[in-house]
Order: sequence, then C-alpha cells, then structure tokens
Amino acid sequence: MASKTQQLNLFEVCCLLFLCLCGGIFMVSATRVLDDADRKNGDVCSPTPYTLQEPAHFVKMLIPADNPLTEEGIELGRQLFYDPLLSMNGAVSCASCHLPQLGFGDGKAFSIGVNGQEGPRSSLPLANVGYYYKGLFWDGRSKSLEDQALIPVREPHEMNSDWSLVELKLRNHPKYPELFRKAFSITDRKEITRFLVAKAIAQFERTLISANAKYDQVLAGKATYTASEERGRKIFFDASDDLPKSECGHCHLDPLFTNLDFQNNGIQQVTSLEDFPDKGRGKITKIIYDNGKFRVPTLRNIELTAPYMHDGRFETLEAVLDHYASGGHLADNLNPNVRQLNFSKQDKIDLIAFLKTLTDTSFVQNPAFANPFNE
Amino acid sequence: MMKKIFFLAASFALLLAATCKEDDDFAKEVVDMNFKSTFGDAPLVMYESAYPYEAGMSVKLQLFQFYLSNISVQREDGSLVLQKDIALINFKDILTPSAATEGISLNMEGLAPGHYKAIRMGIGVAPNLNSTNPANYTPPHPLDDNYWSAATGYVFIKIEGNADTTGNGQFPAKLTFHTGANELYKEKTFDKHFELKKGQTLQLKFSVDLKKVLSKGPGDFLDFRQITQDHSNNPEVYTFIADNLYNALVLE
Repeated sequence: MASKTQQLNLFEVCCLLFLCLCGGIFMVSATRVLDDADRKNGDVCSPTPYTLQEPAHFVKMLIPADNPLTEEGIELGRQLFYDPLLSMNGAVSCASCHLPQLGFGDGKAFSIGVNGQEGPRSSLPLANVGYYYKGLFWDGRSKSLEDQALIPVREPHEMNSDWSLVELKLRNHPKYPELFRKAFSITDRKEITRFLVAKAIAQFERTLISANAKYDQVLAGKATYTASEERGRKIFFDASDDLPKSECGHCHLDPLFTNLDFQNNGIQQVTSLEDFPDKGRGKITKIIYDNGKFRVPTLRNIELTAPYMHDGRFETLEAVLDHYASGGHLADNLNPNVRQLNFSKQDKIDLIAFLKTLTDTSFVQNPAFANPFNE
Repeated sequence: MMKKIFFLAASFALLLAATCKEDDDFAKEVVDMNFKSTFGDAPLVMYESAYPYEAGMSVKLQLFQFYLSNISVQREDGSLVLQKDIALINFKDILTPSAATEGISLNMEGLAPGHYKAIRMGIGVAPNLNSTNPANYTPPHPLDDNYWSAATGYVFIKIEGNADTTGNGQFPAKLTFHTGANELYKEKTFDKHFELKKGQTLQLKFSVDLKKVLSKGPGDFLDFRQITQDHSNNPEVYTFIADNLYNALVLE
C-alpha cells in the first residue's frame, strides 16, 4: 500500500513538472512575441564599441568594466539626458539644470526642479565629469556616475518621480524599448530598469570632455596667450617670483582645474564646525572636520558657469577673487592655502583673462552633446 | 566492518592532508611596512590636536604626506629586490589617536622567503618618475595627483596646518610647505636583518616625527612668525625640510 502511494506521488510530481514546463514554454513564447514586436526584421543586437578620444594631457578616465562605452549606449544616454519623461510631471530633464550653452550648469544659485521647487545647492557643471573618481555631487555622495544618475529622479526638489513609474513609462514607450535593446542587448522590454537608464546616462556623460579651450590650444602650440592672459597664468600657477601668488593651482589643479577633492574655502563664517548651515561633505562622511567642505569645482568654462560656489553666492569672477584675496573666514578646517592675497586691479584683470582661456566653445556647441529632440 | 572503517579513516586523513597542503601553497608572504607619525612624543592626529612647537608657538596639522620611490629589500648577498616603484604616505585621514597608533600600512607581496639585511627607498619621487605626469596614469594611482605643472614635477612633501604664534590659543597663521625637485630626491638604506618565513606576514615599523621635519632644535627651526609657506621657492627652506625628513624617517 505504501509502495502504491509512493508511485502515485511520483506520478503526480511528474505531471506537475510537465505542467510547469508547458507554462514556462508558454510564457517564454509570449515574451518573444512581445520582443519580436520591438525588433526590426531579425536585426542582430550587438552594440558598437565606442573608443573615447581622451586628451593626451589628461589623466586616464576610469570606465567601469560592466558599462563599456558603446555608440548605442551613448546615444540612448543622450536621449534620456534630455528627456523630461524622467520627471514626475514631464517638465524637467537632466538638461534642465545642465545646459550645454552654460557649460552644462544652469546659471542659477539654486537649481529649480519640478513645480518650481528650489534645490539646496547650485548645479555643478558637467565638463569632464567622467574623470571624477573621488565622488559626485558637491558632497561626493555618489561613488560613480551610474550611482549619481539614480538620485535626481526621486529627489523631491529635482524630478520628484518614482523609478518604478519611470521604468513603466520607458517599457511602454514607442521608441525606448528598441533603443535599450540596441544599447544593452536586452531581449524583453521588462529588462528596462533604472540601472540601465543610469548606465546609459553615465555613458553619455563620460563623453562630455572639454579639452579644446584656448588653454589647451596653447599647450598644443596652436595658439598663444595675450600678454594679459600670460601674466594671469603666471599668477594663477604661482609661476613667477616677480608676480603675486594666487594659490589657485593647489586645488584647481590643471588640466582638469580641480583636484576633485573637498575643501572648506572659507566662504561661510561659523563659530564652530557644527554651525555650518549646509554641512556639505560632513553630512556624508559624518566626520566633523568635513563639515563645510564642498567639491573643488572645475574652472573649465568658468566664464559660462556663474553664479559661483555651491550656493551661488558670488555672481562674478571679480567677487570670487575678492573673496580669496580676503583670506576667507577662519575655521578649524579652513584650507590653509586660502590666505590673504594682495591683488592689484591689473592682477585681477589678468587672472580673469587667463580664466577665460578655459572657455571651450567647441565643447558647449558640440552637436554630439546637443538636445536630440531639437534635431 | 573494520576494513570499511579503516578505509574511511584513511580517505578522510588523505583528504585533510591534501587540503592542508593546498592552504600552505596559497599562503603568501607579506611584508607589511607600517608608517606612524608623531609630533614629538605625541601621535600625530590631524585637526584636533595642538602640538607645542618652538619659541612658545603651537601648531595644528591638516596634511602631512610624502612620496617614497623604488622601495626595495636587500638580500644577504647585497642584491636588491624592487617591491614598489612609488608610494604616497599620506597622514591626512589620521583623525584619532587610535588611527595614529594603527598607522598606515604598505603591503609588499611576492617577496621570496629567506634572509634579508636592509630596506632601501628613495624619499621623494625618483627622477625617472618625476619626469612623468598624471596623464601617464589611470587613477587611483599615487602619481595621479600632486603634480605642479608650473614646475613640471611632483610635490614630494606636503605639510599644511595652522600655527599659534603668540601663545593666545588662536591659530590664524596658515602653514603650507610644498617641497619637490629632483635635487631633493635621496635614497636611504635602513639596516635591518630579518627572515621572512614561508607564509609569514612580517611587519616593519617605520616612524616619522614631524616636529623633527620642521625643527632641528631650539635655535634651528622654521619660525612661523617669519615664514608660513614655501612652494620650493626658497632653497634654504625646502632643503631644510627635505633633509630633515630624510633624517626623521626611521625604522624601529
């Protein structure tokens, strides 16, 4: 009797397995029908590797092994970068706060998100952001571009959306499933996830290389500085004992014009390190000596990226120089390189003339970085 | 039955032996070069600690770093085994006394077991590396930073902090000493007989007293009432710092 029961159980198990198998085949078939609708006549999906043209005078870019650059990935990233579909109300895209003509900044002291909500900081320009290996944002909270791209969608003062909703919109979009399939070899639109969105945007952002300013052309022997620019360059890099020193180059290290670090540059007067209204890097690391420290921003395209500092407190480069000449507000973690300077009016004119040689018009006007929805 | 038990026990013993052998093969020899910094007798802690200096002054530090090049170990026969071509010893993240006690570790793997008689290294960036620039490297790399393009070379030593020059408990004097030039690069041999055994992790303890980098004694020190910065402009200052670091770095 026991043996008969066992046999029956074995039979039942076999039937169950068979049904499962049939169900699986049915589901896979259904998925394929869905995918076939996305495909174009048996188009073989194989993203085209993209070789980044890195400037010879730059440090090498770190590209994660799990997100190699491809032509299709970069193009998808560009579309997503400019598409307000990522936001709650379809009004805000990445490009709303990162406009090419403003050096991929937005010209505001505090960036504006959906429904006119003001963010706590200004938008960081994106020139050469692919080289930022010490963390993204003013406070370095994201370790990679892929991590960074996940954040604005759900920030209430940015896109104020929900990733599940965004994924749904993309999966049901008439165009995007095909673009994702080409970029990432997916076989089912359900494979469109926030992580692939972030990867595509990161790929596009890695191509945002600004290395054709007058500064670069002079380095390459294709241009020469004016007398004022050259004098400004020497002041900037403390390169002459006969000229005043600006101490700029300690943090704004060339050729990226940032050392990617986080510093207190003395713009905020506080009585103790606990008192910084925006703790910046300290909010992330929980180290009190990081309070009031913010990313050293790049000076590339600085002419286009006013207002300056994380809170946009300085509207002009003259105001920035005046701040540094003052030596900044003392604090236990004030960078000691921020020290009182004696600039003449001519020194400031020359320094600014040099800073303007960092404007890269070919970068801001590069059609490869432009809004594809305007094409 | 006894045969079966014997067979099982023998198989188990064989398996155990094989596993142990495998572990032995995978254990690597490691030389852990540990660097600690002090200011006088006190552990060097950034930001928080104020250290008595010369002439009634006190200092607080934010940064102390230096490069080491061509770190090699010398065999008993005198031949050198290069372990690392470049390393940046950076104390900027030492924010607590316990972190200062722990120090900074620089691990060297792949050194063959045997007897050795010295460690040799260059203090600074060796000329062949100092002629490169960050564009030659993929970060993170010790040489992807600290490059001073105006001087076409690396800053070998950085010391940054603040000084109280009047003894009133305030630290308004900003100190920035950045030193680097090919002529400042010097190699130093630290005599130390040691045996690296198979599978062993051996620790070599280095220490550097920052006070000795800034001061040779009461009559011969960087007087922060007079000078608060040098970026390799004043030979008297930068050679003073480089020579002092050479002497202050010791192997215990």
